[in-house]
Amino acid sequence: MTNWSGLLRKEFRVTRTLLLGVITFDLLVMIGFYLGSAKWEVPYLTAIIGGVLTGLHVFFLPLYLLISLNTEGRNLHLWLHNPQSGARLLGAKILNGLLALLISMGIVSGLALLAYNLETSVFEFPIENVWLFGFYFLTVIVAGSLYMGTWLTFYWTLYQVLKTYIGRWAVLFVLILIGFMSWLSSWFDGTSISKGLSDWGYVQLPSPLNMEVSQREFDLTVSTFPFPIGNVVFDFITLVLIFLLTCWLLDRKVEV
Amino acid sequence: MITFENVSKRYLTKQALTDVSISIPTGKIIGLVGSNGSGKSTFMKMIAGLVSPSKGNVMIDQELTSRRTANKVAYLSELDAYYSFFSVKETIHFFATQFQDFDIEKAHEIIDFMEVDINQKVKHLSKGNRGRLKIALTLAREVPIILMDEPLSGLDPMVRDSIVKGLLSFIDLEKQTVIITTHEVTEIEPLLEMVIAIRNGKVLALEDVETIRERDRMRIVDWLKKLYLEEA
Repeated sequence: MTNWSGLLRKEFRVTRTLLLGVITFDLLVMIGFYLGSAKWEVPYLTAIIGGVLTGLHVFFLPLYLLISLNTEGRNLHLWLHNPQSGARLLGAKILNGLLALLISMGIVSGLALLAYNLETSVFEFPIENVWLFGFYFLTVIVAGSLYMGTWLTFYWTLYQVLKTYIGRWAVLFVLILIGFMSWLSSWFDGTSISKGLSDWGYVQLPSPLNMEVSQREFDLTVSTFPFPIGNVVFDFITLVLIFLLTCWLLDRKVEV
Repeated sequence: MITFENVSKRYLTKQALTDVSISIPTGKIIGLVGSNGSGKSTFMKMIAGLVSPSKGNVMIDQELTSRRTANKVAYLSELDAYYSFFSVKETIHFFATQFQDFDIEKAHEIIDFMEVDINQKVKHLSKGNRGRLKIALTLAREVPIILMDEPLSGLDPMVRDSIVKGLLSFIDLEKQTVIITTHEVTEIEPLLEMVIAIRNGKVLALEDVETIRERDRMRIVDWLKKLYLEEA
């Protein structure tokens, strides 16, 4: 067994109970609503609940990482007295969390899709291609969860660094920093620099929605929508930089 | 060689080490002795690269220590900390995947010597057996430096005696330097070749145990008391 697979195996064991708990919750909610939907007569109830539950998975990775990191935080020397790089130690946690996210999200969205297909209702969603819609939706959830998870890992590591120097004030400092960074991010989004960095490379992606506009002598079917590749590249570079900074903090600045 | 160059460490309100300069020779079993809160654990963690100096440098073979110094140093913490979900066997296998120098056969040999059930979950082990597992995980590494922070803490006298006797057979003094902190100085005294006395974050002396015995005609505890009195 290599050191990487050893780390992954350990990470799985650290959060195994949590994953089993989440899967049990997923199944109970989905099956419960499916059984209840016959009585309540709400069209597509199970599919809607499944969609909402799938959407909530955007918070899955940050919460999963927080629990996993806090478990290590209780015995920091046990985790950090290891010759593997910070990138490996954190990477194993993030990858394990992503796999857990995909498992849980796969169960919920799979059951939601099944419930959607089993439903016989006169009401129809304006979704032409359910698979494409699902793919976009899941991609956004996974990307959003990874984005928040990476930032959470950074803030957690920063807290570990600061607590050596300022003790319990480190929590307050990190909370203020989170608030400041949110403000800075929304301010930056409105600037021309942000537009220059991320508002480019538009491509037309196929639309899963059935949006037909018909008037006398005018017929429009929306079959594609514009998507800026620049936005993805900008976010990806930001995430990589934050991850590298976190690894440097873990390797050089965190003390036990 | 382990070198401290004008090393100081300050925590929030406490000065843990003050202007420590010392070179620790290789291939010896060295005792780090001092009262509670004298800076022993900080000293050990600095060698392991788990704590950085506020001032000065800590080096191993002229290289500054950092967290990744773990590839040269086996560190046994004073804390009772494990991945409790692993069994003893799984813990050994996990360590073997993380440390290239980990000798899995030696680990099993030490575990057998210490009579710990390899299939038992770590969370179900007694405190004494968890202490033995910690020692096995540390001594099974073929590294130049072994740091043991209170390895005998929480073990009963019978166990301590067998561990002290076993320590020698599992250390390769041709290649390894061992630094041990303990409050049970008398019990490990027969093992020690050198001793470092530390008080209030200051290193008072680094001395050969033989010299203490022959020149001062003292045991380590008495020598330490004498140093503390002189320093007061």
